[in-house]
Amino acid sequence: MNRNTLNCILFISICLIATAFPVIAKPIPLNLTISPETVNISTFFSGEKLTISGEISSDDDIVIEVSGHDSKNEYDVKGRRSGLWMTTGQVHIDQVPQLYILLLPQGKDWEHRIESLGLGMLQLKSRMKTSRTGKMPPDIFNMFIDLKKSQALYDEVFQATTYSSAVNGKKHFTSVCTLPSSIRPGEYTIKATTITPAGEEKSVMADFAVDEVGFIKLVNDMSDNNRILYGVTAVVIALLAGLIMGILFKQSGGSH
Amino acid sequence: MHWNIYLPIAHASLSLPLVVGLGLVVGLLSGLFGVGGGFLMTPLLIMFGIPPTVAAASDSNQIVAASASGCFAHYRLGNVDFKMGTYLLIGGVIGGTGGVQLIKVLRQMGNADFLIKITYVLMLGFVGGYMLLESIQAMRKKKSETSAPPVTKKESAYARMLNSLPYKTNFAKSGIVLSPVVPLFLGVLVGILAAIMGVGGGFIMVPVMVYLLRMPMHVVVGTSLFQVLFTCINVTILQSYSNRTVDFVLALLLLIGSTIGAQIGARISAKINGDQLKIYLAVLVLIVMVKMTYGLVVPPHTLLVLHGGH
Repeated sequence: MNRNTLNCILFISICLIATAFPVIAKPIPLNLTISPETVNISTFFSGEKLTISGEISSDDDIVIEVSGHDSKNEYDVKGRRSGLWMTTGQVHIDQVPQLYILLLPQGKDWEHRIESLGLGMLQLKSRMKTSRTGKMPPDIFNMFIDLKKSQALYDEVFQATTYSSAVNGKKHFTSVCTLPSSIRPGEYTIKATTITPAGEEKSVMADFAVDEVGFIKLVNDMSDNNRILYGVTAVVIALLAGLIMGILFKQSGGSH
Repeated sequence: MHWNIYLPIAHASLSLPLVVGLGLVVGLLSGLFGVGGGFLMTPLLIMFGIPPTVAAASDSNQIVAASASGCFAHYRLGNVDFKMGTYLLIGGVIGGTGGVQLIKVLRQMGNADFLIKITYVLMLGFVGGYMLLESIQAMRKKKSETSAPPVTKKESAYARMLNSLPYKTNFAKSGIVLSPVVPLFLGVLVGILAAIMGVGGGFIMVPVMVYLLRMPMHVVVGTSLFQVLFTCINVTILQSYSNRTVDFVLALLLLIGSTIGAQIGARISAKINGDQLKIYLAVLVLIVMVKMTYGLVVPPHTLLVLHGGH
């Protein structure tokens, strides 16, 4: 083997190592693709499916949290008084998001893992602040979570994220989040956390918007900015509808 | 094609046929008995995910249409005593304003809800039970052709008291001569009770007109609707201004059904004998009473409910 051949082999080897090295050692930068980027609330809106996708290393997992701004919540608390069930006080629950949906990937025992990772409903408990008038029920947190779950505003969805087959040390993920019809307009955050087999976590954030459009926006703006006009319009239309229906019925059948 | 429609103030999506169907049923009751139907509609809307405050306020808006439709139908049938209705309405507004202040005091005392619910159940039970018994007795007597009216000592004393009051006026449509003090006073009383219980007052007003003002049942239904109409106009505008809780889209869908239902109800009402109508209303009142009692006795599935509403 002459010197030129040796140099050539050495050069090719260095090039091969150089191209292979990033795949092995450098983590893939996580770019989230959100579809749709803006959720429009129009006349026939009944919730929306939000798709979050991207690429991660083939050995990693990804957990996605979709959440809204913190909201103030005011509830009546039912209690027993003289043997009868009735409202016995009010409770204010603050510093909890108006929407919280946790999307978990396929496989593995995520039900137990999310607790150790500090994800899911339990992490909300540590942030929650409550104040009350009257007697506070002991399990107020669970009651609150159950109520939010019944409104589809809080959820932990298992197997919501699916992976493609690994190619070149990478895999594609797709998460589908069902946004309920009770979602409020505003900015929402998506936090995607990749978890390596060693348990290392890295997160990226992205936002999406929920906006009212068309007739829905018109009604909301009017009810907000011209309250008396809105009330009077509602009454006039109701009166007209009642009278028109009365006239129509008179024409169609007459009185007895 | 999906049949859901988004409600902009309630921030919820509901099935279109469901909302229109609800309106139809409640409108039918409205035209038939002269009640607003809030007792039925508001809990149903809450059950379908509408926030309580929005359900109550939007229902008031819807009742404007149903009662306008029903009142118009009864007016054509000659069943509205506008003079009596106006006195009752004036009294109702005064009583309602006073009742709102009274409820504030009761809430500060901490026993408001207990008092409201117990009063409601007792009143519905008493009114419904009395109405049912009285109507059944009246029908039986008619059958046996006993024409003597049931006059008790208490009723005679009440009649004497009515006759002794000044400024008597003729309520031609109702066929009674009475001092305006009586409907004014009863209007105040019903207004206070309606404000305390958080309902329109049709349920209390109808028995008051039948038993205390001695008005004929068919005129009672039309006149009650006249009063309910103005009460709900007032509530709709106040709720829109103060709380922004009137969902116009929800009300519009409900009123499509309720205005048709009210017309059908008014026609059925005109074909039913007065005593029969009282029996049906009494049964309805008793069903509501049983439902309320059930809610008081049986533990709720959650102890946490959104603040507001009736």
